Amino acid sequence: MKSAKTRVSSLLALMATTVLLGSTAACNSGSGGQEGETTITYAYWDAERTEVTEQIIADFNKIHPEITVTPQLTPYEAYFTKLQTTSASRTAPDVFWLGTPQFKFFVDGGAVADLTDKIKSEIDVEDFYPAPIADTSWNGRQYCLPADLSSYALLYNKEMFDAEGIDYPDESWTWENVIDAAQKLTDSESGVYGLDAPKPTSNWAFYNQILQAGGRVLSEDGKRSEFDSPETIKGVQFWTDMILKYKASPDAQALAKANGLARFISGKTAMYYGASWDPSTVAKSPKAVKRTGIAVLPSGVNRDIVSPNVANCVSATTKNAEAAWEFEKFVSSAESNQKVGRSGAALPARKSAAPAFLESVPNLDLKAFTDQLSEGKPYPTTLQASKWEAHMYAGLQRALSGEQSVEEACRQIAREMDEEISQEKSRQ
Amino acid sequence: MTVQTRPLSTAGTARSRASAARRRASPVHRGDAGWALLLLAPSLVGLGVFFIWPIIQTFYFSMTSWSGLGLYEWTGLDNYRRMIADGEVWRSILNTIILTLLTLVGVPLAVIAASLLSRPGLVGRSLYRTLYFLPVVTLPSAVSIVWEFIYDGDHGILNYLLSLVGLPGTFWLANPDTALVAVSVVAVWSGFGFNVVILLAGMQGIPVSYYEASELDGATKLQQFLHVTVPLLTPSIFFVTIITVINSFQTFDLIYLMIGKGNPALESSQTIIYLFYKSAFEDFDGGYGSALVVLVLAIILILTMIQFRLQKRWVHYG
Repeated sequence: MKSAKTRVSSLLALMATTVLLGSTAACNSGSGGQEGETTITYAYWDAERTEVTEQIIADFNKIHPEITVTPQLTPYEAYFTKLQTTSASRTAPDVFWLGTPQFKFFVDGGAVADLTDKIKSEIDVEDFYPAPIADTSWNGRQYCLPADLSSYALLYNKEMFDAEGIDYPDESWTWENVIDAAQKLTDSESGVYGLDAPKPTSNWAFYNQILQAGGRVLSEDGKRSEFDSPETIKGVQFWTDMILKYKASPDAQALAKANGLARFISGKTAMYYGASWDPSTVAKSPKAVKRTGIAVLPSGVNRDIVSPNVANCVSATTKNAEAAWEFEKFVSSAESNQKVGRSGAALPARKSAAPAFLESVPNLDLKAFTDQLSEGKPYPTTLQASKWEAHMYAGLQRALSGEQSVEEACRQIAREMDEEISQEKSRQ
Repeated sequence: MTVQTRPLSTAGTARSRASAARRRASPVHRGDAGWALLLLAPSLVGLGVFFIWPIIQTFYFSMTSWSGLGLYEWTGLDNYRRMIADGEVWRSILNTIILTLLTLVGVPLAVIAASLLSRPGLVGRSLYRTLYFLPVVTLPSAVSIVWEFIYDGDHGILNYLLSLVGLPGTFWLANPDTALVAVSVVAVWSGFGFNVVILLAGMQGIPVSYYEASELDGATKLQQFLHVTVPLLTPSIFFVTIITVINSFQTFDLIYLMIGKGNPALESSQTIIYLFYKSAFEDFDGGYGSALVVLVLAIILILTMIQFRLQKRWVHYG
């Protein structure tokens, strides 16, 4: 009797083990391969980067044929969701992109390997712009190496400026000039606007205007919201006025499904506050390149911008730490940075690669983007920024659609931000 | 019915008591139970690992403050307290109820369509059936893209058709007043074929003799539909209704794909499941997200219980 019971339970155990083994085998089958060969995954979110990424991997394999790198493209909207769940289940990609807005969250959550010692002994940090190096370190430890920077500039349609007889924008332009020109260039009858307002989820577009109005999103110590300061409100108002007061932008409903850059390229909007990765998209349309001019952003009380970066990080739970570090080193090298720069897909984080970026789009002068870099300010982020950002998006939405006055919306955002920030706690 | 149940169930317990006694007497039957367990084991393990255990974990994490990554902290009922005070939660429940009610409009429509399709002598019957079923097998993302074109405010075909009869259009998926209705239409459209197929199968089970008898009595086609088809179809209608309610309550993909982040109509159209996704995977608030999904579980349980209670009043099993 006892033996029968034991037999059954040992059979049960066997079956359970088989099931479990089966599933582990299924998980591992992706990282298998030939004997002595290591496979690592490299996650990124920008489809425009696929070509240059594959090229970098091919060059990496010339030096390290024993390491296979599988690129993994996930669109930005789902990228951090995936990174969060794979990090929690310890199956994160070995090397992955991380943006400044999410940097603290993932480092604090223990998903990112600390590379301080390796970077100190093997990397020439001096060649990188100092701001992104600071943004990828935390509490004195260097976690990631910056891959590229964000910079912003004013893209304008020369043909439309000529037609209205307005002088092209230059560094003397202020907010008054751009507001004035936007109104003159608008012809809402034919669906043409002067300057598209951003979506509420385009943090940088609001952060830049807030800085230029002399305001701030977070207090100096990062513990309190300054969204209700008069300067910050003025910055947000730049965009709400563009829609509601000057009517030089489509309204919030029309913008919801629109792609601002595509509208600029097709001549539906005369000016566009563009990012450093936008010119490579403009370059795909020769007609658009011909009529596009680029100037530094029109200044408010200053010309400040936030300059978040994209960094290459190594997973804290990688099983191939050595191979991952080799790839991290290669993808962060001056050579790889120059490849990225030449492709025009982004502004590389190494100073020595900036010239390659400037020449990336023939017949388009990208100097405004590198000029803006000297005005770069820290990007406002906290341990769990995504929580208060959700409130900010909702509040900005109400302001942009005119459902709430800018002052009320900003005050509510500040209250909700303070509430969320006060509850933040380190998870280490 | 009730009179019968009692003796039956006592008989049942008596039998099981007897078998329990027999089991105690002979060790062979214990082996039988073991084999039964063994053969059930694969599915039990699967059920346990992939369904039961996650449900228990979700309950547990709904009592914590957890970002979904790294350490967490026990906070008891805090998440539930916050949920009750959160206007966005109530708004999303209301949205979900409205969406469900609007989607239920598809059920009577499907009954009519099914009875028309099962009309004898209909030419091109299988073509119609295929056409109706096509949306069911189409990927939600493809469905969403096509409907986004239709609803587009600038060059959508819907606005164009409206302009032909002199009616004003709008940004259907970005206008807070229209977005939820627009999504509901898509939900009805994409679930229609499934409902029709289930109802058609149900109609095949109705004996022809009922129709012959009613015809002899001089019933018109409409009377046949109302007094023969519909009453005898109620088990299928009941099934379709429950599935529709459960599906509508779990609507996520259509909102995610057609409305999405940064849309002015999001607050007035997001469903409770979308809010759960947003909390857990976009705002990285895993604890609160877990609490929300426990709420959804409770609501669906209650709704299904109510439906089962009510079915006694209107469902006729043959």
